[in-house]
Formats: sequence, C-alpha cells, structure tokens
Amino acid sequence: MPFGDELENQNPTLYVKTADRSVTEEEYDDSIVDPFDQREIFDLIRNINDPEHPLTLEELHVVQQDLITIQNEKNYIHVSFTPTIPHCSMATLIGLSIRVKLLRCLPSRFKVKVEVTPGTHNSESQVNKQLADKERVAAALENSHLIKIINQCIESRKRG
Amino acid sequence: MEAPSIDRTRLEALTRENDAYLEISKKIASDISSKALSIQDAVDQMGCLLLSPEHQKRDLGVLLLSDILHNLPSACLSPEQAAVLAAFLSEKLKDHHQVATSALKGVLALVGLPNLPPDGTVQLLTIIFNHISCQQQLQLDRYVIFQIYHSALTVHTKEVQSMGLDFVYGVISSIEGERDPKNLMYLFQWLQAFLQVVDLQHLTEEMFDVLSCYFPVDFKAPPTSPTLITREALAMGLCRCLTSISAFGPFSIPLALEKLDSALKIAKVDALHLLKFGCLSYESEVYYQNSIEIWAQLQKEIFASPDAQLRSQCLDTLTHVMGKLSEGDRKNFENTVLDIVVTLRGNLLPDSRLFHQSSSILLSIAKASDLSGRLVAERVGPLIENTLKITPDPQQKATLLHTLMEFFQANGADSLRDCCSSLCAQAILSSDPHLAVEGFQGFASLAGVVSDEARQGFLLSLHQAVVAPLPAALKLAIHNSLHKIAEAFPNEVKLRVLRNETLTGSGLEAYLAALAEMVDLENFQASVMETFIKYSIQDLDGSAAALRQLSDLLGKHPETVAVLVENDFLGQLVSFLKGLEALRALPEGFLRALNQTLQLIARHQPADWQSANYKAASGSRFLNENLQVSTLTGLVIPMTISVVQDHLHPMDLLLNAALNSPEEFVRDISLKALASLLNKLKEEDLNGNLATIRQRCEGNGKISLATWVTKGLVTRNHPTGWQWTDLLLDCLADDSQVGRGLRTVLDESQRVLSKENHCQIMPLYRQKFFIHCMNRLNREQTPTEAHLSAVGLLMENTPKMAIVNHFPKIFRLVLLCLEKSPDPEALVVILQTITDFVKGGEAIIEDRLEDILVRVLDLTVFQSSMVVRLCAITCIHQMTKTYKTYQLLPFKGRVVEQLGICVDDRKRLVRRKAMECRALWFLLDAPL
Repeated sequence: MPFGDELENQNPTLYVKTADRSVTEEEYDDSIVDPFDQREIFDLIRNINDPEHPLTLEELHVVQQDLITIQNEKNYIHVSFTPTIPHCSMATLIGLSIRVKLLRCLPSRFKVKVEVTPGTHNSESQVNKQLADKERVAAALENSHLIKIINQCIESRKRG
Repeated sequence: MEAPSIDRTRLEALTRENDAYLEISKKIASDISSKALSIQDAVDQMGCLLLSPEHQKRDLGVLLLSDILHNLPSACLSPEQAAVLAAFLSEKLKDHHQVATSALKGVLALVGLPNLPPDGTVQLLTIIFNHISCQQQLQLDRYVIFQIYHSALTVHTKEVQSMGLDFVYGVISSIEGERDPKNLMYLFQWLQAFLQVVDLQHLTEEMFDVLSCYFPVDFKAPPTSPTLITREALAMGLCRCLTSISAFGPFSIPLALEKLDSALKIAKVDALHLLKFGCLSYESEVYYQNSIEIWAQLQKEIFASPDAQLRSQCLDTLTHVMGKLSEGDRKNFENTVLDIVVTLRGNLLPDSRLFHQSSSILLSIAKASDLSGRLVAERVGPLIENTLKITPDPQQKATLLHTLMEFFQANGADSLRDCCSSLCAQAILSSDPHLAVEGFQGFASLAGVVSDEARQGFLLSLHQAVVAPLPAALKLAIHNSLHKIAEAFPNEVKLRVLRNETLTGSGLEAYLAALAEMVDLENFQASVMETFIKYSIQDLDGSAAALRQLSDLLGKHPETVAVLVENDFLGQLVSFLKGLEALRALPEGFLRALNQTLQLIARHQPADWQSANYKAASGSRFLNENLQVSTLTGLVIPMTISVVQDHLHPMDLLLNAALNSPEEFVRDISLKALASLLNKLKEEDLNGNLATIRQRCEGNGKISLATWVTKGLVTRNHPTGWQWTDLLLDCLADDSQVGRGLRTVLDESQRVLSKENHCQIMPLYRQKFFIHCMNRLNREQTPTEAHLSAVGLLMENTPKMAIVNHFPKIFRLVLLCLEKSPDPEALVVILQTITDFVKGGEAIIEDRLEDILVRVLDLTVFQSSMVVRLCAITCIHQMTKTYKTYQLLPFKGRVVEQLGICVDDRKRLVRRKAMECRALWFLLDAPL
C-alpha cells in the first residue's frame, strides 16, 4: 500500500468485468479506417490497478465506458473517473495514472482531459485543477516515489 | 561345531564415520539366523563396546546391536531373548543422549517383533515417554520415534491400548511442535489410524489443539525438494486427521469458520475441505448448531469472491453440508432449506446482479438430497416459470429455462416435469435461436420422463427442425438432442423423425447432415449408409448433397467405409456418373466431394480391390470428361505402389487434363494425381514419363506442372528432382508464381502426397530441398523481389531446426527480404519465424538483435498490409518479453518513437498491439 497502513475504503463494491472486445470483420479489412472510439480508450484504462486494492479500476467502477467522451475530428478526449468514496485521498493519484497511461498509449495529436465525475468527490475542483495543470503533472512525474507508484498502477503485466 | 567369534580388535577399531559396522552386523545377523551363533554369545562378545566406559564406544555397540536386530528375521528371537533385549535397551535409553538415539533404532526393530512380550512393549514406550524429549532430537531421530509408535500400535495393538491415556499423552507430547514437513507427512498419515484405534477421552481437545495449530497448512516446497512434499498433500493429510473421528467435530467447525473468514486463499480452501470432509465423520448435530454461521460464510464467499475456483468449492461444500444436515431432524432441515430459499428467491430475476450466484446456490442445495431437491424444486420452479412467462427478452428466457432445467436434473424430476416440458415445447417454437437451443437441449433430457404424447409432439418438432434452414448453433443443439433421444428411443426416432421423404436442395442437405450424426449408433448405421447410397446415385443435386456429407462422414468414421464396400457403392456410383451429360456444368464442390469420397474409400482397400475397381472405372465410358478425371484421380491418388507399378495409370489423360482443362479444380487434381504417380512409379518407367512431361512442360501451365512434378520427385528423394527444382528456380526472375510453387513443394497440409496415400515420403526431404534452393538463391548477387519473396515462402513449411542451423548462411537474404520485399506473404512468414525464435530464446536472433530489430521496426508502418504491421509489432513485443533490459535499452528511444506512429494507425487491431507494446517499452527501465 503506498500511503499509510490503514485502508481508506475497507470494503469496496465489486463489479463484473466486461468481456474482451470482439473483433469484427471490418477490423480485418485494411482498406477501412477504424476511428478511435469510447471502448478503445476504455480498454486502455480499465486494467489500471487501484493504488489501494489489488483490483482494477474497472472492477471498482472508477472508470466506466459511458464516462469517456471522444471527438476524433477535434482530437479531443475527456475521461471522467469516479472515486469509490468522496473523501478518497487517492483520487489525484488515480487521475495521474489515467493521464500517464493515455499519454504513453495515445497519439500525441490528442488533447486528453482527465477529471473527477461531478459530485463524486469532496475536493473535486482541487483534484481537477491539479490534473489539468501541465506544470504540476510534469513535476509530479519527476518525483521518483510518485512515478514508481504510477508505474505499478499502470503496469498491466510483468515482463517475461 | 565351534561358534564363530567376532574379532575383538576389529570391533574396537570401529568408528561411527565409516560403514564397516554395517558389514559386521550383516555377518552376525546371518550367523544368528543360521544358528551358527547365539544372540547371547554375540552380545557377550560385543561386551567390549556395550560396557565400555567411553560413551562413543557404547554408542557404537548399541548402534551395532540395533543394526543386528534390524537384519534379524522376526522368528529368530524367543520371547525371553526379546524381553532381555528390551530391558537392556530400556537402560540404554536412559544412557548418554548419543547412546539413547542409537538405542531408539534397536527399539524400532524390537517393537516390530510379534515375539516381544507385552511388558517389554509397555516398558520401552514408557521409557521413551519419560526419558526421551522428542523435540530435542534431530529430524531423523524424531522420525524413528514416530515409527516406533506406529510399529507398536500396529504389532502390539492390545498392549498399547492397555496403556490407555498414557500412550495418548506420550504421543501428544512427542508430536507437539513438530515442524519438519517429511515428519509431518508421516505423522498425518499415521495419526488417521491412531485416532481410529485409541480412545482419546478427556485428551480429545489437547489432541485437536496439537493438530489444529498446523491449520491452515502454510508451506512452500523448495523448488529442488527431493521428497516432493506439496502443500496440498500436507493440507489433505491434516484434513483427514482432523476429520477422522467425530469427537473433533465441535472443535473443527468453529475453526473452519474462523479460517474461512480470513483473507488468505489457502485458509479458505483448507477450511472448505475441512467442512466438506467433516461430513463423512462428524455428527449432523454439530453442523446443525453451526448451520447459520456456515451458511452466512459460504453465501458471502459465493456472492463476493472474484475467484471462480473458490466459488465452485464453496458450492461443492454447501452441497455436502446440506447433505449432512439432511441426515438430522427432518423438520429442522426443511426449515433450513426453506429459509435459504426465501432469502434467495428475490434474486431469481434474470436482470438481478446476483441471479447466477443465487441460482447456483439453490442448485447446490437441490443436489444435496432427495428431500432438498424436492423442496427447492417446489419453491423455486413455479417462481422461475412465472418469471419466464412474463419476461419479454428471449435471451433472459433462455437463461431462465436453462436454470429451470438444471433444477429439474437435480432431483426435482416429478414436480418440475410438467412445467419444464411445456416451457421447452414453447421454447422450441421460438424464433430466437438461444431460446430454441435451450428448448431442444431441455427436451432431450426430458424425453425419458414425459408422457408419450408430449414426446411424440417433440419428435414432430424435431422432424421439422431437422430439415429447416437454421443457424449453426441451433443445428448443433438439434443434432445433439436427436442423438440423445435416438439412443433411448431408436424406433420412435426412425419412425417419426427420420422417416423417408422426398427431399431436395437445402432440406436434403440438412437431413443428410442430421443422419451423418447418427452413424455411430448401432441401430442406425445400416439405414444411414443405405440412405446415403440412395441419394448419391439418385440425381445430380441429391448426389452432390450426399457426397458432400459422405466425404465428411467417412473422414470422421472410417469404419463406415466397410459398409459402402459391401454394398458395391463404387460400382453403383460409376454407373450413375458415366450417364451424366457431357456438356452439363458441374459445380466444383460436387467434383471435389466426389474425389474426396473416392480417395477415402480406396485408401484402405487391398491392392486387388484397387486394381479391379480402377480397371472397371477406367473401362467405363464417361460422357462428361470432368467427371471421368475426378473419378479416376480419386482412385489413382491413394493407389498402392504395387498397383501403380503394374502399369495401371492414366498418365496421358492426367497430363492432358492438367494442361488443357478449362476447370481449375480438374487441372489441380490432375496435377496432384500426376505427382502421386511419379512418386510411386518404377525407376525404368519414370524416365520415359518424365521425358514426355518435359516436352509438354511449357505455356501457361508450365510452372504448376513443374511444381507438382518436382514435389512428386523430391518427396521420394529422386535425383531428377534437383533438375526440376533448378528448372523452377531458373524461371524465378520471370514468373512470380514460382515462389508459390516452391512453397507448394514443401507444403504437407493438403495431404495428397502422404503416407496415408501410400506415397514414398523420405525423411529430411524438406531440409534438403530448402538447402538446395537457398544455396541457389544465395548465389544471386543482386536478388530481385521474386528471389526475396521466395526466401520467405520457402521458410513457411521448412522445419524450424533446419532454418536455425542454416541461419548464418541465409541471414543476408532474410535481411534483404525484410528491407526490400513488398510481398506481404513472405514478410509475414519471416516475421512469424523470427518471433518464434525469439520466444524460443534462439541465440541466432540474440546475436544479431540490432540488425533484426531495426528492420522489423521499419515494417511496423508497412503500408500495404496490416497483417505485416501486426506481425512486426508482435515480434517487437516478444523481444521485450524475452530479452533482458540491458539488451533492449539502447533501442528504447527509437522503438518508442516509431511505435508513436503505430499508435495512430488506421486499423484498431494494429493500434491496440502497438499501445500494449509501447507501454512495455516505457516501463523497460522505469522504477517499479
């Protein structure tokens, strides 16, 4: 556990994982362009580990497909995430993990905005402000302790 | 005769370190057993050691004596001698601790003797209990002590039982705190018998405490453990001990419940085992007293655990526990079941989050006993039935019907029979395939218990469904149901479902497909084959449908060929085929099925059958040439070598068809038959035939003909094969088809030239061909695109070891192919081969990592094929997983930058793979 010894949310509600995306015939046709969609972004972040529990953000419903907005033509992606409890101190860390994961996996043309789902966290505006501030995000990623925890969260599987 | 004496100086020179005493003990033991020496004399002569003032000497003496006792046959010692030895060893047990441990070995031998008087056993055990502190001994000595207890209890059961609680207390004191897994494994096995024989009385709780401190077993076997003791084996041994007597029940159940509540998976697993195996020995009253707590814990696990294996164990335990409760008071049991049903029935709505968990709990309870099955079925059946009736969604209806059928199969036969029957009947008529599948599957299970009238109705539905055009999953369910019912009611199925009708088109095809599924049933085989024969020679459409199904059927059930041969199917078929009009266009599928069926029939027949039938068929005048070629090739391809060498082959016909036929299938099958003949021909016939073929090998069909001739010759390692190979390679620069031809030579997937078809397939022919071609290709100073793609295509079917061995020689060509070849097929083969080598840790790639990685990286943006892009990214992904960070780190910047382009690929599959791979490269040297 990254911070402290006590779990903040000792008994989180668990949700069923969605099945893997089935591949359509169009996806095998090289001549058809597949635009980025909600599900594709969701697949990228659903397996991020929760910093507190050995569970994924999807299982805790921290991230949900419906809370992702994507505008291909405007190169804009908006992700809302829902902390499991309103006073969750991990909210910024979860937001950072989502941002870093998307930063590493998405083409640089996209502007990515990660925010707390409105009304789900006590310090919502503060967390949103921190996550939107490029300077602060860059500074946070310079912090070796912090980047280690983020890497642990977004590491989907160990190298062989 | 003078008694043999023991050399005293030799005895005195003995040390514990060398094994000389083992030889001496063997010699003395054999002297005693042959009566050449008495045990008294032997002990007397060993006096110099046994009575020595030095404890090392005494230890050696006792060790020698113990070893002699081990080597002596049990009848050699009289009860008196045994008693004296027991008294002596009892004294030695009180001696210096080193002497005592040696004496334990003697005691072990002594207690194994049936001649040992009762007093002796009791005396020895008492001395051990009082003077040997088990916990202070070495692991092997503790093991000996446990063996003594085991042996004493087995050989002198009555004497040990007469010791009463002293023995129990002694054992408890000795085993307490044992930590060695080998000793524990032994103890857990023995204690099961011990607990059955002794009466623990007021020491029950002490005994339980001593055992329960190991629960749950937390043990990780070292990877190189020679004893192969696993956690599972230890846990199961402990569980068997804890559940071997009913007196442990009141202690075990609370312990299991406490551990079930733990967060550790092993604790939960062991607790579930304890609850389950306890049902075999504990009183049902104990389970009843704890039933509320057991239920609460199991329900919590089943509802909340993300581990499917643990959930299934909980359900299994629940079935056993409920089975145990059903042995107790009937009223109480009924109340317990009904309480659970009332708790869970609210969840039995298909959109409820806990539907599956709740229904599986109720199902586990229903399986526990007849009574619980009936109670659950009575309460839950009507509820599900009503829900099913009012649910509009067919998918949910299917889920509900499936659940209801599971309840029906779990002991609820009578009460649910009627409602299941009517719901299945409705489901069968549904337009939703999922619901219809459940209906058919359900009815197949019900067929034996429903009324005759209901079954007849179902059979009528089956009859209609069998010929209807339906989705594949539904067809499969219908075939399975038909098969299941046909086993139980063969006559009714024949009469109602498979009755002869005039069918055509897709209806006939579906009907024959259903028949083909029944061929393994003894009652049906003859009539099924008869029907196939009838339709095969009826008309062209019927024949096409029947042969298509027959070729599949013969492949799956080769035993049915005999039925066709007995009925002279071939003769009837040829008579029918030769009459078909000359100009009639025949579908390729028909010709293919005909050819395949004939190959399957002829393949397993003796030479005289093949010869006679080939003569008959080739002597018949076919009006349609395509039919003639398809029929004859079907008989020629599987011919044995002796038949081919008897000049029975239509070489000219095949050559003409191969070069001139307008039908692609006819040209193709003629080439294959030609290759098959060239593979089997006698040496003297071969050259003449090859000369004829060489003369005619030109024009459009040249490459295909040369390919198959080469294949026929190369597979039998014929020297002329290399001339034909060179002929192909000479054409490589001019004709792009040559590369594919070279691939065909090595391709064994079509199985035309195979040992099944009696061809001569020499070992290592693919390696030789690959090396020959690669040597030729290597000579090209400026290889063209065709040369480079041939490199990839040749690698596709070459054994991987051959490529590994020759990789240094072909490396230049492989790199050039990766760099310059525009042929996606060749690139995919090379990329997949490299990925396999990387996965297998082959040094050939590791040594050339930079050269390969940068070229593969360039292919991640290969525009004309997404498969190449995917394979290239997969290859890099595999490198990330296989190689060490320091090997990859120099390329990190370059790979991350290049994959940055791939993550914006136009295809989602490529993007997904690139994103996954890029994330791995970011984490390569990141702190974790």
